[in-house]
Amino acid sequence: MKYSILSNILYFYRYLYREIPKTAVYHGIEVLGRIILPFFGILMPGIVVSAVEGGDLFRGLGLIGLAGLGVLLCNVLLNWGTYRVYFGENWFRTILQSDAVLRETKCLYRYVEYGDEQKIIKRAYHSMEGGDWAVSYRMLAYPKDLIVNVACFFLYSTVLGILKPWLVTVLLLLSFVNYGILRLRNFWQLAAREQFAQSDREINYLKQTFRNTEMAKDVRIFAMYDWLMTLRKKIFGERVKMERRHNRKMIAVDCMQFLLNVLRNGFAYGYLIYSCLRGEISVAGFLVYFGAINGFSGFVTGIVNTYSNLKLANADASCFRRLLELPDIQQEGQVPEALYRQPAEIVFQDVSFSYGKQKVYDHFNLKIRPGEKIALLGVNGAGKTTLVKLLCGLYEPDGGKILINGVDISTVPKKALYRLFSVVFQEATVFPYPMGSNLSMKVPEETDEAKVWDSLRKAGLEKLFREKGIRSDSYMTKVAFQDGVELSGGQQQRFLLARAIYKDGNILILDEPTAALDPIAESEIYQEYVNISRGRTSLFISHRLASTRFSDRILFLENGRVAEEGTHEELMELGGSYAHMFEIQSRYYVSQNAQSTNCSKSNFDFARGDV
Amino acid sequence: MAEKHSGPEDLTSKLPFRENIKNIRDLLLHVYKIDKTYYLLDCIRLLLDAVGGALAVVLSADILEMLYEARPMEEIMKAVILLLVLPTLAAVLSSVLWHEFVEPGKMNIARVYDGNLAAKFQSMDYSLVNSPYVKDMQDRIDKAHGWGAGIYDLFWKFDSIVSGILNLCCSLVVAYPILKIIIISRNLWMYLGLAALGILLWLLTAARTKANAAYQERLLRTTSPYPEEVFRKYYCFSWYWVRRCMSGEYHFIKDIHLYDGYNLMKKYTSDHVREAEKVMPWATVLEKLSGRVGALEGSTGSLLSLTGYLVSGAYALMGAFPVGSVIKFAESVTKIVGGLQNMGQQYRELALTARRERSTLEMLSISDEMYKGKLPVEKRFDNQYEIEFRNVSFRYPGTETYALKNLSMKLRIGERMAIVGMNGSGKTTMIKLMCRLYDPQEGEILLNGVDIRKFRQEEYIRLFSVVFQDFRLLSLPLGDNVASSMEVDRERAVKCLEQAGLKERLAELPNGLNTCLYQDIADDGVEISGGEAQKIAIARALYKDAPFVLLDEPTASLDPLSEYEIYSGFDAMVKDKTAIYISHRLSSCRFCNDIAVFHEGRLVQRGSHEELLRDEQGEYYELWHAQAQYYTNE
Repeated sequence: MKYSILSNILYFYRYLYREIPKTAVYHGIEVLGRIILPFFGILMPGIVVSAVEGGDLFRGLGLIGLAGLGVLLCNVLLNWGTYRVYFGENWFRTILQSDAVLRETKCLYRYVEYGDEQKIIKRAYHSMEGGDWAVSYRMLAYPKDLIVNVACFFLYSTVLGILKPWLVTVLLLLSFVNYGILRLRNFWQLAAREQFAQSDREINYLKQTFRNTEMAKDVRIFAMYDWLMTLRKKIFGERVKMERRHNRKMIAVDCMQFLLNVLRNGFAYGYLIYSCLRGEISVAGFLVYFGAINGFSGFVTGIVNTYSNLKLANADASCFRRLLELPDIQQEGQVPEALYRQPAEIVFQDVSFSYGKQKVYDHFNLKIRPGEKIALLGVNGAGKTTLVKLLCGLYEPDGGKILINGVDISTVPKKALYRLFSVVFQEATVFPYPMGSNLSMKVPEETDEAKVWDSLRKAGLEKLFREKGIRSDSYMTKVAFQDGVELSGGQQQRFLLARAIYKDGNILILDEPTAALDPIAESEIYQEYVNISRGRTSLFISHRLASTRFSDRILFLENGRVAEEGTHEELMELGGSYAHMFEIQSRYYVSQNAQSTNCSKSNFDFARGDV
Repeated sequence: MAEKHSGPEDLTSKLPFRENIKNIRDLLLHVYKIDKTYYLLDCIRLLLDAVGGALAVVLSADILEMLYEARPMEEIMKAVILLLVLPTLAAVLSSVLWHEFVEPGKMNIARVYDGNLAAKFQSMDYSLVNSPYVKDMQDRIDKAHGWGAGIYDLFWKFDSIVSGILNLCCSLVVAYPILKIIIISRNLWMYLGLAALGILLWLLTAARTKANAAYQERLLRTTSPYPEEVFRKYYCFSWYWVRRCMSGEYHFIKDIHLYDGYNLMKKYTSDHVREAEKVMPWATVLEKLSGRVGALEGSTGSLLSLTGYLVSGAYALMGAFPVGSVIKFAESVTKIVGGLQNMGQQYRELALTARRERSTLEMLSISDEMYKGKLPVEKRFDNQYEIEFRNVSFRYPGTETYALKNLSMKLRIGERMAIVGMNGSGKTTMIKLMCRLYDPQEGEILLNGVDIRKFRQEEYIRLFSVVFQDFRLLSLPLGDNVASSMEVDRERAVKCLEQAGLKERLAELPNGLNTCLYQDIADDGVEISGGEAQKIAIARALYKDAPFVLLDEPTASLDPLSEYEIYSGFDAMVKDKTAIYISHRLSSCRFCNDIAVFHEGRLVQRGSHEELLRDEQGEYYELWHAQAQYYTNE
C-alpha cells in the first residue's frame, strides 16, 4: 500500500510543525527568499549597465546600491532561515526515530517478526539512516524545491510571455527536449541505483564484518583476512567498473545538454542581438533577457529533478508512515473474570499455524490442567518456542482456538492476555535502564522498591546486588554506560527470572534458561524454578532433560504434534523418542558409585518438594 | 559517562600552523597512496572549468562592447560562435574527466579508506582488538566524525581550494587590462576606490570567519562532554534504535509486550528525546549560532558582489573603461576577492578535516605489539606436536584480576582432553593463549620445547582448529565458509559437512555449497538455526585439518540427539589429532581420558573421570553431581 506524494508531504510537514512549530517560519522565509532572489540575479547586470549608461555618478551608484541592498536583505534572511531550520529538521528526525521504535511495542508483535509488515518495517528503518539522506529530510527538502522551481517557472514565463509570447513558446519547446533528456538521465540513474544496491549491500556487509570484533578470533584462527581482502578487492573492482559504465551514460547526457544549451544560447544571442541592433531593446534589456532565458531552463531542470526525487523518496516515506500508523493492539474490550482464575487451565483446540510458508502446527490439540507443570521437549526446530508464542498471544493461530480457563484468547484484548504470563525467553534482554525498571518494566516512579528486592531475593541475587552496591536506580549494562552494571551469564538468567517473579503472572514459562550455564548455576536455576512455580501452571523448555524431573508431565513435540506424553517414568517405560534421548544424555552419568546416587536422590526429593 | 583513559581530543583548540600543514600533508599523502592519479586528473578538470568560465566572461563582455559600438551582425555572431563553442568544449572535456576518472576514483578512495580502517581490526594483533588503547582510539575517531563527512570532506575542501586558486588566477588575467588602466591613471579617487574595496572585504571576511569559528567550536563541543543526565537520556533511546535498526534485532520487543513495558519504553524513547531538546541548551545555542553564520554567509556573498558592481560602476562612470566592461570587471573582482576570502576559510576547514582524520591515520598505523619470531614451524605428518604451559599467568589488558594464574600443564599428544569449570574460571582464556591470540604476562608456552613466540605467527596458528563458543559464520556461500577461502576444495568441504552431521541439510540446499548463509547480501540465502550454525562451524574446523582441535562449548545450542551425534562422531573425526573440549555438559568428559578442572583461573584438578570423582572435596565432584543427580534413576 502506498500513499500519494501529496498526502505524504502533508503528513511529514504537519508532524514537523506540530512538534517544532517555529520551523514553519523558517520554511516560509526560505521559500520566499529563494523565489525572489533569482529575479535580482537576473536584473542586476541590467541595472548596473543602465546605471552606467545614465552617466550620473551618484544617481548611478545609488541605483546599484538600492538593488544591491535588496539582494542583501533577501540573502541574509534566506541563509539565516536555512541554517537555523537545519537543527529543527535534525531534531525532527530523532523524534521520528523514537516514535517509530516505540510504535513497534504497541502494534501486533508478529509484525516485527515475519510477513509483509516486517519487510515494511525493515525498509522504514533503513530509510531513516544515512544522516542528511534520511527520508525525513528528503520529504521536507524536495517539496520546498518543487514549490520554488514551479513558482519561478510561472513567474518567469509570465514576465517573459508578456513581453514576447513566441519567445516563451520556443523556450518551452526547448524545455520539452530538455525534459526528455532529464527523463532519460533519471531512468538511467534509477536503473543504476538498483544495480548498485546489491553492491552497496555487499560493501556494507563486508565493512561490518571487518569491523566486527566478535569475528576477530575466527578471522585469525582460520586466516580469514586474506579471504576477506580478496573478496573486497573483487567487490570494489566490480563496483568501479559498474560506476564507470553508468557514468559513460552520464557523459552522453551531459553532451546532449551541452548541445541543447548551445542551441538555446545561440538562438537567444541571435535573436537578442538582432533586436538590439535594430534598436528594439537596449543593451541593458539584452542582458536581462539573456539572464531570464538562462534562468528559465534552470527551473525546468529543477522541476523535473525534484519531482523524480520526490517520487523516489515517497516510496520510503510510505513505508515509514506505514510503520507509524500500524494499528494499535486492541486495548479495550470485555475481559471475563474467569481468565484470571488461578491456577489456569490451558487448552489448544485444533490449532493450525504457519510461519510464512512453513507449516508448524496442523490441527494441534493439547490440554494442560490447572496447576500442572509441563516440560516441553523436542529436537531443534520442533516448534516449542512457537507454541509459547501462540499461547502468549504474540502470534495468532491461522485456525482453531486457544482457551485459557475456557476463555478464547482471541476474544481478549492483548494487554489483558499478556497480564497472565511471566515468561523468560531464551534471548531475553537486559535493558540499559535502571535496575528496578528492568524488573518491573515500569517507569521508576511506578516501581515497587520492596517488590524489587523481594524478587531479587527469590531469584537468589539479593545478596550479590547488596554487596556490589547495586541499587534500584543503577543503570544496567556496560554497553550503554561505562559505570553500568554488567551481569555474568548465570546472573543474567537469574535477573530475568526475577523479572518474571516481580510480575507474578498466573502462568510461568521458561524457555531454555540454562543453555549457557555451568552445571552448578544450572542446578540452582532449577531449584529456583521449583520454588516459584508452586501453585501455578508452568511450562519449562529445555534441551537438558534433567529439567523433566520436576515436571508433572512431559510433552515431547515432533513435527508439530505431541508425539509422546506422560511422566518421566511412563515415557521411559514407553521406550520411544524420549527414552532414547534420555538414554543418550544420561548414558554418561549413570554408571556411578552408590554414594552419588544417594546424594542425587536426596536432592531430587527436595526438588519435588510438596508438589 | 565515566572517565576515559585519556580525555577526548579537543578539536576546538588552536593548532600551530606547522602542525596543521603536517596533518594536511599526511592525509593528502595517504590518499595519494591509495590512488596516484586522482589529484592530477582532478586538477586538470578544475583547470578546464576555470578556463571555461573565464572565457565565457571575456567573450560575453566583448559581445556587449560590440553591441555598444553597434558593430555589424556578422562580426558579433563570430564572437557568439566562439562563446558557444569554446566553453562548451572545456565543459565536455571536464565532464569526461569527472565521470570517467575523478568521480569513480573518489568513491573508490573513500571505500578503500573506510575499508582499511575496518580491516585494521582484523589485521592488528588480536590482543589489541579489545584493548583499552584501541577502544579509546576508536572513541576518538567516532567523536571526530560527529558532524563531518569523513574523507569526503577532504575531496570537497581540496576541490574548493584548487578551484579557488585557479579561478583567482583566471580572474586576474581577465581583469588585468582594467586593473592596469586604474593603476596607471594616477587618479586619487580610483586609488581610494580600490582601497575602500579592500578594507570592506577584509572586514566582511573577519566577521564571517569569527562567526564560523564560534559555530564550529560549538558544534565540535557537542560531541564531547555534555551533561551526564542528557547523555543518558539520549543514550537510552539510541541503544534501542541501534539494536533495532542497525542490527535488526527484535527479540527484546517480546519482553516489552509481555511485561507491559510500553510506558517504560515511552519514557526512555519518545519522552526522553523530546525532553532532551528542552534540557540541552546547546541545541538552541547552536541553532542561534548557525543562524548567525547563515546570515553572515548571505550578507558577505551579496555585499561582495554589490561592492564589485559599485566599484566597477563608479570606475565606468568616471570613464575608466567602457560600459561593456562593467560586468566583466565586476565579476572578476568579485571572483578574485571571493577567492581570496574563501582561501582562508577553506584552509581552516581543510586543516580541521585533516585533524579529524588524524585519529584514523593513527589507527591505521598501529603496529603490532606482540613479538613475532621468524622460526618456521616444522611440518610433521605424524602430528607429533606437544604443547606445554609453564607457570603461565595472564590478565586481560585493562583489567586488574588474573584470568589465569600460574598455570602449568602439558598436553598429551594425540589424546582427548576435557576442560571443565564454572563460568569465568579461565577455560576459554587458556585456549586463547594457546593459539597465541594473547601473550601471557608471566611464564611461557612451549611447542615441542620451543617458546611459541619464536615461531612465525601465521605458521603457528595453522596448527589449530578452534570452534569458539561465540564463533561467527559469514553471510557468504556455505562452501567458502567451510573453506574460509574463495577457493574451495569441494569434495573435502562436502565430506566435512557430512561428518559434522549436515548431510541431509546439504542435500536440501538449492545451490549446494554455493548457497549463501543468512540473507545479509543475498535474498536467496538460507536461514540456519543455531544448531546448524554450530555444525557448520565444526565442519570448518575439520576442513582446516589442523593437528590441534579445540572445541569451546560446541554443543550448547544443540538438542541431545545432535549433541550425541557430534560427540560420538568426534573421535573418528579427529583421528590422531590432539583435541581439547570445553563443555558445561560434563557427559562430554567421559570421552576423555584426561580431564582438567579449572577454578578461578587456576588448574585445580587433573586426571581421569574416575580419579577425579574419588575426591569428594574436589571441584569436579561438585560439578558432576550438580548435573548427574537428574539423570540417575531412583
